[in-house]
Amino acid sequence: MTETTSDVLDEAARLRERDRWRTAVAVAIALLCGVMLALAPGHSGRTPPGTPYYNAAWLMPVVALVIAGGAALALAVRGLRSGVFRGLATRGDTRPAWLGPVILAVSFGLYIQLTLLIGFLGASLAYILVLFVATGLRRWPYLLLALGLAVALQLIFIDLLDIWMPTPKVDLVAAIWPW
Amino acid sequence: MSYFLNGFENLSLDLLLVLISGAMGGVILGAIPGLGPAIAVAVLLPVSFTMEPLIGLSMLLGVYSASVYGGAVPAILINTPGTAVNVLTTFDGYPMARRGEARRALGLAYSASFVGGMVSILALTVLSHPLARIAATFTSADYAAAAFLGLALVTLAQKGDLLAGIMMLGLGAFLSTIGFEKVFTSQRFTLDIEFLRGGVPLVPAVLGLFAISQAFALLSGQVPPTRKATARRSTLKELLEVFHYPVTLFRSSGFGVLMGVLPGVGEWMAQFFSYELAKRGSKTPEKFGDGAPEGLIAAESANNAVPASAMVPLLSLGIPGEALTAMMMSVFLVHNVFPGPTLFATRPDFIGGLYVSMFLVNIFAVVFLYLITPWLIRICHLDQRIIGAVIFPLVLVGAYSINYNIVDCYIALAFGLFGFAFKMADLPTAPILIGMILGPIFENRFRQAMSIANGDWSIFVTRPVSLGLLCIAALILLAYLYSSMKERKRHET
Repeated sequence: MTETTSDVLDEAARLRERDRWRTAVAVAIALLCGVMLALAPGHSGRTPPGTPYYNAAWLMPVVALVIAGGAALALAVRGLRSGVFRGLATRGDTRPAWLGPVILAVSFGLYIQLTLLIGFLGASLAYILVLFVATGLRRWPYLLLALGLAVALQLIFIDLLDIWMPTPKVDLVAAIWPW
Repeated sequence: MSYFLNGFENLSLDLLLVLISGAMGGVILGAIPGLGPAIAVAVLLPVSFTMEPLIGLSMLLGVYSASVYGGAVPAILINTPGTAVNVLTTFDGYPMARRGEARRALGLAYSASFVGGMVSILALTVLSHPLARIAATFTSADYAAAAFLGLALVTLAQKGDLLAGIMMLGLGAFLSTIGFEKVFTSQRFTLDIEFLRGGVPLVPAVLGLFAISQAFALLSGQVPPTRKATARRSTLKELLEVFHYPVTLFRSSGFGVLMGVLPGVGEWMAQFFSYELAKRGSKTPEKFGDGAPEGLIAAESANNAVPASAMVPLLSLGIPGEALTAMMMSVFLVHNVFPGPTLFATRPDFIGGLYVSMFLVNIFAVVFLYLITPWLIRICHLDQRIIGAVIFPLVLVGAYSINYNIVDCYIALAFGLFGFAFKMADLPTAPILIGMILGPIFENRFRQAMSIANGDWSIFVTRPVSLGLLCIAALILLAYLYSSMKERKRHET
């Protein structure tokens, strides 16, 4: 298996992308730790006066924040110094990789709400159908598969394993199949 | 060993059915690139909560062990490891398949996996009870030292990525402190948010970090598609060929057991070191990476030796060593079963049942794998978008059913977004989980030990167990620093 120039370039681009994500995540964690450390005096639990340091409620969270924050800061500085974000603003040719998951996350939130509204079976069917259609699985066998999957999930989890789900505000199944 | 033999008395039809279905499900889930033991176990966690503790745990252990078996099939046939722990299987398995020896490679992989699994179960049955007896004499200082060793090893296991490991572990340890603090009965970092009062729930975090993040990756095209291939069943001769390499087979299995018992090391390191050892010990090291049977045997026997041996520290000490045993721990806790030395005294039937379950799962997995090989390769080609779409309803049911609280679903979603960012940044997620589990153990035991000793740190070095554990941690740290310096020098020259 010989490595082509395009393979090498692809790998380099993948590593650059990884470094950007890594730096962004490290900056976010460093900021989170900084904010939490700043809030620590008022939010790290009650430690009665005279309590020795090793028994103080603040010890573990503060130590954990210092460790996580210190490592995150080092990673962030390393990434920013190597200029991983250089030229990113002018690129603008591709859809950012985070957009897909953010849209999916919003859709998952809507799915949760839909489950509360019409129940697990209806919401799951609608959600799987939407995901199939949105990702290009649009032929009728896939739509039938979506129906089969939703029914199977309902039968396995709700009917067979008896996992309780919230009572829907609108009982769609009863509306369609009153018997 | 008596636990093991008594365990057969607990064998019920329910347990057998669960083991068979767990083995079948594990093999299939392991063979699907993009899924893996962690995701499979994460989405099945809530199902196990509705079962008896032994049956639920057996199902998860079945899925965990069998998925490592299944992961070898796509690794050999299409150069795509079904699970992350089958990466090294591709090195020699795929070249063998390309030169027309696919059946031989599969036969070697199945037999090596089986032997690795069986050696690991033997180690579990032999080691757990003596270790638990020692653990029964543990004081708070010993437990704190054991938890510290676990935390240190998990971090050091991120070789070449130490800072990332430290960052993730610290984050996990911090998350574990959020919520109610028992000693002075106060709230820590809840920021007056109602649902944080009970702390960050573990199972939704697991579902988010492992399952939702993978669904995001699968649906947004971050996982490459698989190649096409066909396969036939191996012959008996091909299955038995593994015994032509007894040294590689048993050395790698033994090494896998050792790596499994050590907290934080896991399958990947086990197969990596076993592979390197086999290469160094081989008469034909130049063939490694180009279809060497010994390479394939080393990788497969080592990674299958880990699941059962990873249960040793969990069962005997109550300390999980890696992400999957941490998930297992949550099943124990949901059922009010506390792993550790007392479990051996109070629930010998449970321990025996668990041993027998792991033994049988290995047999069921290898038989099932052998029978369905021709069809399994079709499952490997299952469209990843379908898998991604199914993960979401599974997570919804899983996260909701723990506390019947819809907020848990949103917590899982938030962790899913974090998990996706970690995935894109190639950051290890296991240290977060280990930090969340071992953090509270370390904190409670440390506070107890220091209170008993009136703040005298020497309590950690005057007890032989804690001193021994801290010495192991120090030795491993020194070995790590030495190998890092050596590697740096090599790069400079």
